[in-house]
Amino acid sequence: MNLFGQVRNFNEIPKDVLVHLDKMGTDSTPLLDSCESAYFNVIFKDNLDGFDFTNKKIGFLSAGSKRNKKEYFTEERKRFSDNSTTINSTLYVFNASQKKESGGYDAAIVYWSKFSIPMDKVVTKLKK
Amino acid sequence: MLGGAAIGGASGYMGASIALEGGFMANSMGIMMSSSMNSVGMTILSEGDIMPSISFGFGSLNYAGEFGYLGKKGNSALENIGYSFGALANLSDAVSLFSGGGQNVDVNSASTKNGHDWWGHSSMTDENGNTLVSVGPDSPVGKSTSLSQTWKNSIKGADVNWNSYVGDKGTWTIRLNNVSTSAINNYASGMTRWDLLFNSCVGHTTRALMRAGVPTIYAFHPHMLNLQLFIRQMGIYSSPYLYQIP
Repeated sequence: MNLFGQVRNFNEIPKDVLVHLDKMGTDSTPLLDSCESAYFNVIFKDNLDGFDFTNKKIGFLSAGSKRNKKEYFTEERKRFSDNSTTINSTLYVFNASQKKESGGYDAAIVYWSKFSIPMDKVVTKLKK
Repeated sequence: MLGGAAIGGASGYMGASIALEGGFMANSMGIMMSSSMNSVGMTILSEGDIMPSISFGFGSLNYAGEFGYLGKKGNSALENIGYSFGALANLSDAVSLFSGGGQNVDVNSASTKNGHDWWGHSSMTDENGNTLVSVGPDSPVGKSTSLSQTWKNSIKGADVNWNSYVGDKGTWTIRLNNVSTSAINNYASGMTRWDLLFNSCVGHTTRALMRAGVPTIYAFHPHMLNLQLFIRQMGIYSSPYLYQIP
């Protein structure tokens, strides 16, 4: 399931979530901690369709390359301090077989992508 | 020959330093400084065989009072090329003078190597890395088997806060001197549409530069824009010498 639509304005993120931005992405492991999952639950709130980021393993892709949450949040913090918008991202939620094939990811966040990437390509890129 | 190279190097360094400092007519001032230093040095070195002169960009004046300019009858190809690049420097200086906000700006072309998307991204930032122009689609474009359908799918609202990729590994940055950021900001305030042809990232950067007196040919790929700007900069830095080559 490919879900576009996200919060782009930092002012729309509740303060009790945003206040932890400095603690997010301190490592590059795919497993989200409670602050990170709360943040993404807000960012994609209008398109979660039942998905919850809590304790989920998330893959990151940008400009065709595999990234990690450390890189994502480093950029997100800079954009926050620059009074810019949140990163332009799309959420891909995997089913059981896609999760297995991707290497155990529950979902992927594809950011700064000008083109919509087919789900199978997202899975393949994360697998590499 | 060694003396000529030393004179050329020193005068080029002086001219580039003036242009990089920015300020009033910075590009043209740099050309004037380089050309006069170089020609006086060469006059001394040639024991008077070479006439001292000063270039203003689009034209030059020697100490005998002869005025040379772009397109003058009898010019060599090198003279016309030198004056043409000089005129490009004059143009961006003039727009900065009248529109204001003259600053050094960076035109960035994102990496297309090591697995990055081949289409890359074009952006323009100021000296401090602040975005002036960086546009992407407000939602991803759905590719189709038909080109016309992909084109239709590509018509989107503009996300004017797209990543600029400035400072990222592999980003190719060309610095332009004394460009009117007022003219660029004026263009940027009206960016509302993104599409795959004329309103792509590089389309918007190209038009913003045009508005600021930096004309280029729209060539669809960010690397092609930066290649043109690289040639422009090399031409401007060389223009104080090109017109003096006999």
